[in-house]
Amino acid sequence: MKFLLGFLMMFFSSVVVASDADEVTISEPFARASMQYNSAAFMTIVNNGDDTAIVAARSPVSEVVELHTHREENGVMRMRQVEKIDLPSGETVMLKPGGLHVMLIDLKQALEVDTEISVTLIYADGSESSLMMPVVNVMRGHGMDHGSGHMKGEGHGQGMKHGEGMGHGHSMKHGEGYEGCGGKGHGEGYAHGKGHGMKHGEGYQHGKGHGKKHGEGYAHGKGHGMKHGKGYEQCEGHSQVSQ
Amino acid sequence: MDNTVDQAKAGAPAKAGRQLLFWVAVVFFFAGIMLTRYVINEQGVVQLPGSGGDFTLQSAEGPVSLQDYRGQVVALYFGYMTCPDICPTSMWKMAEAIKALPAEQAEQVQGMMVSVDPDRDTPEALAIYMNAFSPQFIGLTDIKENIDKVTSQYGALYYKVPLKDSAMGYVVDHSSVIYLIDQQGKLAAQLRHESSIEEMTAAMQSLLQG
Repeated sequence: MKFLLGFLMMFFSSVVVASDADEVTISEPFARASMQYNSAAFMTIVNNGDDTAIVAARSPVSEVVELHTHREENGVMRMRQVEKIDLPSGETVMLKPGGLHVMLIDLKQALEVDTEISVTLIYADGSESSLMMPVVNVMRGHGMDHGSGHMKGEGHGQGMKHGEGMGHGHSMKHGEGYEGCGGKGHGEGYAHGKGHGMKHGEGYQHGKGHGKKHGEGYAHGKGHGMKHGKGYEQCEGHSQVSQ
Repeated sequence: MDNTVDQAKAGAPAKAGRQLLFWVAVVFFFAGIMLTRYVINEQGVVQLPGSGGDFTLQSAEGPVSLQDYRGQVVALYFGYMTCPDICPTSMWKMAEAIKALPAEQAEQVQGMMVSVDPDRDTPEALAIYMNAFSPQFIGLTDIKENIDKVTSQYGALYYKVPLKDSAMGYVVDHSSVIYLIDQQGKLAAQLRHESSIEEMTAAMQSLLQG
């Protein structure tokens, strides 16, 4: 019965017009470690839907979040605010050091390496993607640091096909969680994936918007990641969450 | 008819005067450029811009002079703390390049950043900022006049640019170069922003071995 319900939910949700957030997949998000003032968040964005744009962003870690870019002219680095970051249909847009970035202005807390922060992107249609991302040293995305973490990320890419934009934020955590929690953690990760799908359905029944449901999903992911990051006991906590 | 002839005659000297004025302006213009392009360093010696040289600027623990580091290699960068990307990338690369050296050589390299944004970056805040990259790094700044002297000595560029819709208020456009200064205090190499950590390490090593 549950399966049937879940199937019906999936069927109906696919009929509904997808929001920008649904059509956009984000991989390898990360924020730069910073002790004070400002930082920046980077990621790779693939838009599988129609043309859209990131028009704003927010994060609990900074007073202000803006969209910025860099351009270099005769060896002079010029950073400028941009109104939006265009995401043309079918294209991949890279937010990376030296170029486009989500600028975290006036940090409320130091961003320390090996912690995670949440950043929410807001699209042209008003839908949102919330991402958990690791805080790393500056060179990530420069082609360094692309070891096993990257491969785990790809594994998650499959998860994302199920419509979870947050898959990647997950993936990072999964990677860490795996180390922290051992095989058990991994198994739970799978169970979690299913649980997530069900939640999706529930959210739908409650008649909440698609974006909203996603929001729940992400919150879910967040809790999951956090717990994974910290040892066995919290892994237990995680399994409760996903049930 | 007569009137127009008079006017034509009067026009000739006026034209000559204007020409003279033009050439005087040209001379002053170039003289101005020549003057600003030269730098008078701490010892009162006139030098070409971009040729480096000694300086004294303020750190959280008081004045720091380049002269204090004779016998060591100094890696010098001009940036600012609210710069979220370019400056931390450079400082991190600098730190990694030094870390890649054998320990006894790494001790011989001093990393420094001069903040070109003294309105926002205090020496105390700079000390915290630099410590995040390496506890050995030093952050320096000073009044604009003193900073400008050093940036022209090294040929570093920076421009304060207002961003009217941004919470940042203004940003600082700047060149992103790591200047390597040898054990004698001479500017020995300029590492561009794109330089890899390996290139930086190699450049430092060649100075340390040379």
